[in-house]
Amino acid sequence: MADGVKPRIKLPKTISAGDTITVKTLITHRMESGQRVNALGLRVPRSIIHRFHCAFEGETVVDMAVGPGVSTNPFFEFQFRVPGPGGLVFSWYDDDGAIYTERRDIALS
Amino acid sequence: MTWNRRTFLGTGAAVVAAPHVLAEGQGKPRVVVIGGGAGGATAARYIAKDSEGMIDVTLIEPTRTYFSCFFSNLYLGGFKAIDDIGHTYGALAAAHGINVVHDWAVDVDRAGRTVTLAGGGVLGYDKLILSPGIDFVDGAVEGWDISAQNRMPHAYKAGSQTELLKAQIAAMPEGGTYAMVAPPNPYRCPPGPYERISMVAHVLKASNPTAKIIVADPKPKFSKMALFEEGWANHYPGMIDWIGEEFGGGNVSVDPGAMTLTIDGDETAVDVCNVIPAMKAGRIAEIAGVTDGNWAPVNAADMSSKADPDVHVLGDASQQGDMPKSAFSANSQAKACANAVRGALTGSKVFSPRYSNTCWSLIAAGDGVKVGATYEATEEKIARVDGFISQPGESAELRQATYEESEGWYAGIIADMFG
Amino acid sequence: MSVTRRDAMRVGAGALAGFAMPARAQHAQSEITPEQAIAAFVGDGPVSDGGVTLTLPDLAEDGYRVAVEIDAPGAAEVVLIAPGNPVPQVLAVTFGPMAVVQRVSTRMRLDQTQEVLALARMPDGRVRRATRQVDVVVGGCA
Repeated sequence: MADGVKPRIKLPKTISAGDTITVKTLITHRMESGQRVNALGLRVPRSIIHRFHCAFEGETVVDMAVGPGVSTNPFFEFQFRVPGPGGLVFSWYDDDGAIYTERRDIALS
Repeated sequence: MTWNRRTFLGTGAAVVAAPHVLAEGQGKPRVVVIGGGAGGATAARYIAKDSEGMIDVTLIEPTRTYFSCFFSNLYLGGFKAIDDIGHTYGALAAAHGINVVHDWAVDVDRAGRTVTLAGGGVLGYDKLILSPGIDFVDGAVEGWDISAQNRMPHAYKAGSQTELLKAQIAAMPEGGTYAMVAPPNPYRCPPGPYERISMVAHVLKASNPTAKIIVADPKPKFSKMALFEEGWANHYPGMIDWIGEEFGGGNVSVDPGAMTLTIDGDETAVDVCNVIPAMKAGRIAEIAGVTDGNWAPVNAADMSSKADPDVHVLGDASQQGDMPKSAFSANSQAKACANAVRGALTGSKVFSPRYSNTCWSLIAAGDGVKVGATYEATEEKIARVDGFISQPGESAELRQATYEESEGWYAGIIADMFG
Repeated sequence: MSVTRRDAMRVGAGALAGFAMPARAQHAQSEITPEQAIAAFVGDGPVSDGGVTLTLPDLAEDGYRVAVEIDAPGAAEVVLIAPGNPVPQVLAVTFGPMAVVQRVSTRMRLDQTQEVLALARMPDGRVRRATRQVDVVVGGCA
């Protein structure tokens, strides 16, 4: 598990059933691309988030294959139509095998 | 109260019985410079020394000791003492015959070509150079105004504010929170707030390692962001939480009484709150009638105001094109301006201006980065020609050398300004 | 070995970088070329321009973080390809049924001035395409 990894999620404050909402996500991660050469002239191996997945009540909303061309602290914004109340689960898959997850329970207004 | 010359003369209880023209040049052309910082002090010095006494130069600067905002972050980080960044004006007066007046300019009458001082004096000019730095936009950060600056310092004009902020950081409780509200573009010193974050993190890492830093930023990205993010991950992992525009970093309010910061509706208690509001030109530029919106538009060739050919505006207060608001830029612009003003007043040769800027930032001890560019004067603006920037992953040796370069620059610019 | 802009910039502190860019990045470092990445996505399907909007700035001051958005109404899947990067495939997104607006935004690295490409596959197998040219400049303290 990489150091200092922290996810951040932004959803609208009030949500009604049937709303299409904007979801913004960010996770702090160096996204070591594998192109860098360190002070000793050795290539620093790739170590990135390679997959981002968002599911609502177990069903995929979006699934992303992430490459080293995505910037440090990967940011993803997408649209999601809320069918009703339930759990929105975000997962980030790290090259080192770790999976970071965050859950937001959507309650409707 | 709006100041103008007539209002001032009308107050019978004024200290000075009648106005008098301080700069009695015996027919010599007169230049008045308002603001003794990187732009103003450089301009005053170059005009005085290069004209060899042919021009009467008056420099108006309220402070007797100038604390450079540039390098003040290094003082916050414990790398400099306060005296290292304080400089006085004696040599400008003694070596170059500049009339240094420690007072506030409160009015400019461009038709009559006079500057009025708070202490009562009135100065006539043939050319006026304004280099007043910045002031803060009223109401820019909800809940904050200048009267709150002792609770929530900006420390974006150096001196007592910087010392106050340093003391507040030292007094933080264990595990406490230092928050910064960063400014929107354009503002003084684009990488400045992020170098400050780095310096505060450096201090806290040693003295208060469980403390946290939160940054609420209205911008989606910032100067040298990749370099700072890499440096923060290397040196201060897990300590710094930067909340940018996408996550509500622009939707901010503060409560100086309760010491809370609210970001996008979420309130946090903070121990130190460094509010750096949106900026505008130092107020005297607006009073002089040379601003358009927040800044003073100038001609690229000589920094003359687009509103008045006999008024020049330098540095942060000016709107000139592509150069960032920095001490390096102000110093670069001042030299071009001085050359042009001297030429206009004495017929000396005027050279094409050469503008450049470099911004250095210290991320941790020995870890210095820089970004910079060269510029040219076009009809439309000062335009960027080409540039350079440090790269992530550079060697420790290169980063140390980059930092040392900044020390060399500091010594040079201080000599340029103060002699 | 071609010299990339980044290598050129390592030559001495304070070296000035010009705008001249090599035509291609060092693809020896990547397992997949841009052509292969495109072919893998497109397969045998027809490709036509339009129907997908790729939003990028004309000029990027900072090649490390460039805002990009792909809007592909009706698409099942989109891919973002930067042919001038060492690893051309930047992002591939599959939209589930609840992603009723098929739009995604991220921040990408651009190693050099190049024409970025977005491809979108529709449920009927057709592929739509959009490109944007981005000039990557250096410095300026912005």
